[in-house]
Amino acid sequence: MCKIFFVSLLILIIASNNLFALQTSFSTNFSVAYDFSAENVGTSFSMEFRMNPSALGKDFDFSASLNGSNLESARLTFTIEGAKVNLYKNTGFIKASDPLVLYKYDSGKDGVEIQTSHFKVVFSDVVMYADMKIPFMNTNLLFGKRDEKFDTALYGFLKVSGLNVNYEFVLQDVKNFDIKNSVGMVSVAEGNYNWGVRYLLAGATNTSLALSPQYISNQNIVNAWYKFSSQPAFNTYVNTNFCFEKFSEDVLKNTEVGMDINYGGAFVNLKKTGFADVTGAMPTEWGKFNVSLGTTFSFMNFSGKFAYSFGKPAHNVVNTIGEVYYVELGRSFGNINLFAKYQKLIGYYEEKDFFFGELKFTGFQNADFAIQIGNGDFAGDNPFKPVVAFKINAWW
Amino acid sequence: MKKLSGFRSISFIFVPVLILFILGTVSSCMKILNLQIPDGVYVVGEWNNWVPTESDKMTISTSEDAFVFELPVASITFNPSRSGNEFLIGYYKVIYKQGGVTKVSSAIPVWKENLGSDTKLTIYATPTAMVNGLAVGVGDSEKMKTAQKNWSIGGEINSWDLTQGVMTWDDTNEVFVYEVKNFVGQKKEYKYKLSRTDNEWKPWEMNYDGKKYDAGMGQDASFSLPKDGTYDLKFTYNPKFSILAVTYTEK
Repeated sequence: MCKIFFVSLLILIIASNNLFALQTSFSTNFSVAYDFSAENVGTSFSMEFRMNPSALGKDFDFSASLNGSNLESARLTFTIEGAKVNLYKNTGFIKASDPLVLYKYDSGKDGVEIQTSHFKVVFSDVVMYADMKIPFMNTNLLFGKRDEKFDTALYGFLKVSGLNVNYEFVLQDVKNFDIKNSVGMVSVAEGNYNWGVRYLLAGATNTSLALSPQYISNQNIVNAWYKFSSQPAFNTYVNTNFCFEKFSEDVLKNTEVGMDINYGGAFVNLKKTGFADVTGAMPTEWGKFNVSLGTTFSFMNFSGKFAYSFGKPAHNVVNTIGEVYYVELGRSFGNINLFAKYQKLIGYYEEKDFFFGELKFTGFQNADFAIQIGNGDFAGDNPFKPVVAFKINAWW
Repeated sequence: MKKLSGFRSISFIFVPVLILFILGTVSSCMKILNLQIPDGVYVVGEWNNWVPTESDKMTISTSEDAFVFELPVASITFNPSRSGNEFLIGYYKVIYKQGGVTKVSSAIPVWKENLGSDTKLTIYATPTAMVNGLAVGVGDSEKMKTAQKNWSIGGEINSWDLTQGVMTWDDTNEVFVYEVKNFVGQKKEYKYKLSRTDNEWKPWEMNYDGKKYDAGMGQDASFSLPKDGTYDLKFTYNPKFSILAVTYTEK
């Protein structure tokens, strides 16, 4: 239904404009992987064919992605009476512009977005909202509806004595007023953001913003930072959160203090989270902490990166104390690119080795071919398994 | 240019350090400071936040030819089963560490009501049989008890009817046994699963596919027959080490 709507609208717009350019690109990828870790070699195939038509005219542009015969996503933009209208099909377009980002939806949705210099209106099946500028004030009013609930936010920006001041006040579910559903935020920063403080006050300790990526960990959240020097560049920060009833206990438990130092391609990061669990001098008694250092380097025409971290938790998938070594190396031989990375994780009781290697041939006009060994996602729980994959990408 | 050469010199300091790191774990903080738990076999659960401590170390038992640990039932955190509040289920895992090799079993459920008046749960493990991420090689005394419900085999061989597949205890071999005589094999592979004797497969957490407990829909064990024919089948379940097996004799 939506596909027909899109195509009809596109024809209508194209018919009303004599000048337009229509272009279609195609891409296909094929991969086959052999898993040698099991007794019987496992095989997996995948193949995709994608078509990306796009049309560009004086007052509109259109782009779509078809995976096989399925309309994967589409966007049509046109201008009517100075208003820019975007129609979306299965596209991640919902993201409010306020500092707290009241509404954000990453997955693909169908919807309409209308934008002028004074307002923006968004219609979708998960949320509808209008964001408008209040005349003569540097302030916006955002009003939204999700399910049967109405939300509102007031936000703005001020320049006070050379300082950047951002503020926002949110009230969710306006019809059923509850202080728990309110959030206020103010941030004050130096003109170039070299230092600043951000304070967020929520109505309750368990306040949450239903469709926002802003996680509200506690009733009060304070973030402060100070950057200085450029060679090396230092960034120091303190983050904490607390509720009024357990102020000192929360501050002791939740405060995060850190320093990041960058010099060319080298870096050192130090971070300590919480002070309540420090019980002694040994690292196992330091509670949560992290020390990381690393650098990029070149060696015998290879370019590479090395990093080391020691702390608790040791890694996304290892909650105990531990350390992680990481090294990557890459080199091009004409149209042949060689890349390999290795990670060793030594935890309190477990050790894991990660390896990924890729040999990529890019000398073809509209295609590339790669042979890969292992899994490249080192942030997940993917210790090395002898899996060999062959991948072909082509486009025209 | 000066800065670049300075940066390069830093890089060249790092490269030997890098090689040192790659060649071995000589410079490992964890090893130098002896921060890793000593090699051994450990039991973890809610009581130790799933992190082994010296007091959770299993000891070798020559009579059992296995590592054994007596866990106070009071240490286990029991929660209502997903299949109903009348069953309380707790979990533990066994961790084996030897040098750089670690095997962590899958979470193994313990059914509280089936423990009766027991105050201790005896956990057994054989590291050689253990497979990382699976229950194989690990079991406990609750699995040996049938006071509440027996163990049964349900599968394509008995129309998934657990009341037909009730197992009996073989004291000599210390396994539960279910035998099917004169089974007419008409295809290569047959699926089956172990459960407590209840045609609603409750508590669901006890269902076992030979790899992990809490085996859900579609997670089944299977056995293969070499060709069509008549067979005597023998299903066995070793509760101490969670080993589920099928043997067959062609007639």
